[in-house]
Amino acid sequence: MSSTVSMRTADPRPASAFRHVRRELVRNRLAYLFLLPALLVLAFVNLLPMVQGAAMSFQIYNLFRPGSRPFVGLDQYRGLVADPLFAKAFVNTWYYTIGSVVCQFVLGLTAAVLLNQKIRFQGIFRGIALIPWVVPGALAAMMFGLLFTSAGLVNSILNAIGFSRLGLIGPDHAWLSDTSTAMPTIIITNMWKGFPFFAVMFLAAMQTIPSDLYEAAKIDGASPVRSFFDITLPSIRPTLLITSLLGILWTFNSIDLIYILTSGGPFYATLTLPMWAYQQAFGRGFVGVASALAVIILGLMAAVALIYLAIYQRTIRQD
Amino acid sequence: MSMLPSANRRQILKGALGTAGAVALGSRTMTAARAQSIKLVNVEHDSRPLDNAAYQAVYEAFREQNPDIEIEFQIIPWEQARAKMLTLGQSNSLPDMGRMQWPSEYAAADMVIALDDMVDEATLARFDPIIIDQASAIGLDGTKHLYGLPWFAGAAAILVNKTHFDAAGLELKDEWTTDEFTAYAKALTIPGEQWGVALDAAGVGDPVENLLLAVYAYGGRWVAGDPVSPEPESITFNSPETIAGITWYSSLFWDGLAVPSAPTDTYKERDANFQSGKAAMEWQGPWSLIEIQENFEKAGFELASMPLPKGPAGNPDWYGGAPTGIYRAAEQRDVVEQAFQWISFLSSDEGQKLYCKTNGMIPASLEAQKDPFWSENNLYKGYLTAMSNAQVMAPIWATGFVGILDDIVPPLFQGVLTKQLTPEDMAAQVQDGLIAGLRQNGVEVPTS
Repeated sequence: MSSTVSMRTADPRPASAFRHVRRELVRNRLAYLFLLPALLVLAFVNLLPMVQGAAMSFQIYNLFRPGSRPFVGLDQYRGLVADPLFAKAFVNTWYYTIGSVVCQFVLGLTAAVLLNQKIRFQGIFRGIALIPWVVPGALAAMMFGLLFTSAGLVNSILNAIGFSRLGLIGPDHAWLSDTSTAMPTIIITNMWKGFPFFAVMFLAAMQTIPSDLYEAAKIDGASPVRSFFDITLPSIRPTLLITSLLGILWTFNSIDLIYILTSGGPFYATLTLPMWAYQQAFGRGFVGVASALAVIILGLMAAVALIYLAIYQRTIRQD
Repeated sequence: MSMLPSANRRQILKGALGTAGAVALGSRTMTAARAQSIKLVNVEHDSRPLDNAAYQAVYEAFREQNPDIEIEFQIIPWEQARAKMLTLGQSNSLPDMGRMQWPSEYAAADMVIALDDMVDEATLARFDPIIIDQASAIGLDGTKHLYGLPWFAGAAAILVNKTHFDAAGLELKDEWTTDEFTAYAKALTIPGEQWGVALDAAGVGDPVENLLLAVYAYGGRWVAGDPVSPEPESITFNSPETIAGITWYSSLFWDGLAVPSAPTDTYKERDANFQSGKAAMEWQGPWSLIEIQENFEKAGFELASMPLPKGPAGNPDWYGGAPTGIYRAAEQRDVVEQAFQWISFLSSDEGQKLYCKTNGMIPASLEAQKDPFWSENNLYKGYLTAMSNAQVMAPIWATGFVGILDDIVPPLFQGVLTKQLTPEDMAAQVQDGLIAGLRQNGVEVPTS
């Protein structure tokens, strides 16, 4: 018995469009019946909280004023946008996201190229490269927090190689306490934590490239660098795009590293929009304001995802 | 195919039947016992090894008197405690009783039960009125209620690495000024090796409290009038005295005399810097002094204490502590009476002494403080003196006050430390942030 969902050309007339949907549902009722439990769970755990969150963003919902949730329309959105911290958090969020994803991309691509070479102990090296991805975020943050304290290993190494004599930073520089080095330190931590995902995705894509292409290029006298730019990169372009999109979405929303390493400090230097939403909800008890921030974040991410998917579709069509 | 001989099989069958019977009987007996015994959940936010041992000591004594009450001890770490408790309150999954650190906020969120009718005057008379005020808050009915019973207390003082003092040729003092404090910190600082003092610039509670003490020493105040009054008060943080206090405290960091602090450092990092000998002094309360003393002995250091330095406005003594109270969950489960038995025992002189002698805290009961364990120990003298002269820290009339301070003070203070913000700007921004935050919480703040 066939129960596949068929794709049909939409009827131009609105009335018949409804009929078409109904016919589609009836024809594939068994398939939709099987999908129903999953859809219900998704609606309950994803859609319902989202709708509830969006509704709360229009109410003054304060943990210290139970029972009272007056409707205030867009007031909380206006208040947020007018707050000077919003602009700072907005810029910081993109600084953190783009900085992290670019670093993860470059390091992941380099690691994938290296791991794609036919060398001894290849499996062991691939396993080792995955370790940072397996380490829990909280543990990675605590580890890097210790490395970057004023008496940490990073300063010891820099002092031993004479870096501090250049006068750029002091011998006991507190990386996470300085507004200019706090965000780069978090980006380095995130780069270490996240690059294996990029590497694994890129490596998997590289392994689908037929070796004939490289052999032909070699016969034509192409150098390995030329082969990389003319064969490898174009072949894995869809993977590069989709992996970067996932990286952007995850990084933009994440607060674990920032929460543990700086909590948005020093002096708001690492305050991102999700971190600010967390502080509003659980620091001050302003759940309504935090919900408004969450809706703004959702809108931004949806826009990024749409743009990215459009680029992705175009790339697929070109290929 | 089974390898067991038939006789063994019979024995096994008999044994199995016997075991099943015993289990059935046992479970019936256990069910009967369980029907009589009540299990309560107690929440705590301090989790040093000796704190757990201290609870265990009290619980064992409590169980001897109340064998029908079992208690499960849950720990929500200090840094996350306030947020998690408020969330638990919203999701109706609070513990039955335990630490009542932010009574005004819990009362506003309707998470706690007022104890006024359960506690008599004689019980309250055992404590300094300041700590009773700290355990009280304005309820949803707009009047002041008691929400907790104190069991340990403390004040801030300066813990001293006497070994480092001797090496620097410095002597302990019974009284000193903020200028002398700075001079001592300078003498004790060895660049790249040792800092003069470990202070807080981040975390929850401590940075605000300690900075506030500096502000108090210079004559600054958060509110114009009585900080424990239920009446609305004007915020007065933006004063020249406050700015002088912030400037003095910050200068200890600017001049490299205080250990640099990461934005997420807590009292644990501050303690670690002092206990490892990296910092010669620590500005802190009498929390877990036994543990500190043991670590000092292991490292070959001698521990001592000094009072807080006096500023132009005098001594900034502060009195704080921990009340224990009953959460709404106990009412919903109909175990308020049993929960009250536990908090009363913990807050009794017997409970306080058992707890505080195990982990080195100071009991809140004035009578218990007379025990030679504290009254004749030099390490506690500075603290007990400070407690007798102390004043209340944060005003308790305002719901959400502490949370707003914890939220806005550390980042702005970090701005001052990194010289991106002046103390004047910080005072002004804290003033504005407090007023705006309190008004968002529905608190009446008069325009001064």
